[in-house]
Amino acid sequence: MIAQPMFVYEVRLSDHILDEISFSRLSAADWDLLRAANLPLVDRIFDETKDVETRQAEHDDGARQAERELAQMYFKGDEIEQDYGATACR
Amino acid sequence: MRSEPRNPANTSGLWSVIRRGIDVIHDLFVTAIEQSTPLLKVLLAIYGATAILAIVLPIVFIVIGDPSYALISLRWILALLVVVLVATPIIVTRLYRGTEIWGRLVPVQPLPDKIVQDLRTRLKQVRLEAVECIRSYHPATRLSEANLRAHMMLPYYLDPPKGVACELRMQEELQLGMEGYEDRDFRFHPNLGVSGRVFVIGMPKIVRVTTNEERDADDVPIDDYGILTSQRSKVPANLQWIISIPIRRPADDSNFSTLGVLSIHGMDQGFPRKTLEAVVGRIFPTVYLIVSQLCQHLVRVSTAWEPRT
Repeated sequence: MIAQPMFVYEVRLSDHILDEISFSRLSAADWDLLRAANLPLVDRIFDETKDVETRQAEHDDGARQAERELAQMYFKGDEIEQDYGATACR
Repeated sequence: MRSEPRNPANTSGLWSVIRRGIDVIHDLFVTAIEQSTPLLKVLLAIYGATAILAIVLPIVFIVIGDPSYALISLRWILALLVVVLVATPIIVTRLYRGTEIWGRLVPVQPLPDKIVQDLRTRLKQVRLEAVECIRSYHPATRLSEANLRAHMMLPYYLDPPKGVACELRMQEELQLGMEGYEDRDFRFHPNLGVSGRVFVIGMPKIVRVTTNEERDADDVPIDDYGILTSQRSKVPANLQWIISIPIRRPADDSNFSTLGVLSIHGMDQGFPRKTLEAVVGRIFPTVYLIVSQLCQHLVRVSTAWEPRT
């Protein structure tokens, strides 16, 4: 059993988190999977990531912008919390 | 069109029960017809006429005793009556379920073996990326994959505990490094525990083991998350931090909906908030790959219906 106190906090997107996001590490098979799933912003990130070398040199290019938009959309959270409790009783 | 509620005080005894039953069936049919398509309305009308015939014709036989009166034999009419008696509750319950107030797309249960193995591979990838990210911030650290545990919790809807729509569970194949730990069989109700909370709000959370003096202003004691005492006693003594990230599918043009929760547990070594937050960004593309795989195996479940008024 853990003896020390444990604390929780909610992660808010900041620049240093967004800077870590890079789809350029994905393999060709990964890209195929992502694109087949037709997920938001994937095509835009893919189109901007054609030249990976250039992209990594150019830190603030279109792909990075699209990745940031995606992360902000993904981690926006639910404005209205889903009710899994009383109204969902069986 | 909805019929007015009837006052049960106006009737009594057996007739009250019969009358109440008739009222319920009548109301259910009225509401069912209201919610049906035009084709279904026609079919329901035919069914209704058949039902009336099935009830009236035997009475005619009994009273008049002349089979030729109804053109068909008593045996067929009795068979029709049986069909009507069996079909009525089925039609009523199928056609009228009230208004859905809670329903969502969830991963199918059980997930196909192939997708489970793919997800396990992704989980390993996430763990490796977490190690690489932490090392990039702390080159001197001896952290390795052996110091990290990882798991995916998915909602189980088929046999949820009373009072909740689902329960978050982690199947054995979607656990890494948890062998021998007592907390490997943890289950959480939505909104309880860190995973349960992440599942409901769709935002990542980080847990850190630290002292009261070193806590930050927005740190909340984990005990406020509804962790059971029995669960708390099973948390390993060498756990130092947890990163929990929602696995979310696109819901519409600009929103996502949570499918499950992925967590990484750091054992033995603690790290600053900034390092752990960086891990969230580093593993995000792989989490998005997990989303793309889970999206191929979704099913819609509805567990709550607004009662008929």
